[in-house]
Amino acid sequence: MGDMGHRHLVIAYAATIVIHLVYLGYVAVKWRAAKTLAK
Amino acid sequence: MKVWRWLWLVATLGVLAEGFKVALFVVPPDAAQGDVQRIFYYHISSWAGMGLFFTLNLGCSLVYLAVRNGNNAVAMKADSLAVASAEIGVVYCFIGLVTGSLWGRAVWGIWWTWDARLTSTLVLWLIYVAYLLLRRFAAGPQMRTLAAVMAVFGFLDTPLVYMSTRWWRTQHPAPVFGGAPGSGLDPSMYPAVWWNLAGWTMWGIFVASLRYVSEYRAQKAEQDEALKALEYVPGQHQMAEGR
Repeated sequence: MGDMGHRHLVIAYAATIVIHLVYLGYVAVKWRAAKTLAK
Repeated sequence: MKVWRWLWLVATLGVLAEGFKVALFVVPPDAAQGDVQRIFYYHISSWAGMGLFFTLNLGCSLVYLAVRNGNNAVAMKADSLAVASAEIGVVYCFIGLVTGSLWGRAVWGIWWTWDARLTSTLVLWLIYVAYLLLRRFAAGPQMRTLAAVMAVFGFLDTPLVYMSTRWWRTQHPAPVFGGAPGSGLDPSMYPAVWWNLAGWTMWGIFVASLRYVSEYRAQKAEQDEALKALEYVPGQHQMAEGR
């Protein structure tokens, strides 16, 4: 293990959270667009 | 956004925070791998989410195919939920591949290997990316039917992914749950598994519900627009104006 293991652990957790937040951003854009369309 | 959705989000963030804390700071490190094994708690939660949402996509696709000519309202809901579940499933699958690769580099010394588990998972991800691209770029009334058929056949790879470590000798570790006698985690590690499984599943349900509503609204608006266009008859309109 060692340094690389710790680095990869941090990257894995950070990447999971970032990817989910990026997708949430896309969903928010779609949400706003659909709301405008429905009006 | 409705109140229950906010409440669900607050509960989800609470469970995710607890899962994060338990996975990183509470459960003991793995005796052989050390701290890098903690990637497993996010890794397995992603695969569970992927399995759940691809199965939901299959169910919705079958419902769409069954009712598309008879019950338009149900068909539209099923199709909207199929899109939402496929998208979040692709996100989970991608995270599973990324976290697995990061773990593999630290433990195996390689980022990737073409063994049965990894290859069948990559193929599964590509199938659902293709499904979403088909929906994005194909036009015409048959697009949704084609996508639903593709989803049904695409899902066939999911049990293959699940069984790959049982059917073939792979570099990927043997199944942790439901594997051979003696396999599995130390009971002291289970809290990290359960908290993260619950948290990331709740997160997926939250995001998929938002995506479902937006897709349904968009499809409904598109349908209303098409119906309005059908109602417009130029001759009648001119006569009414002439009067």
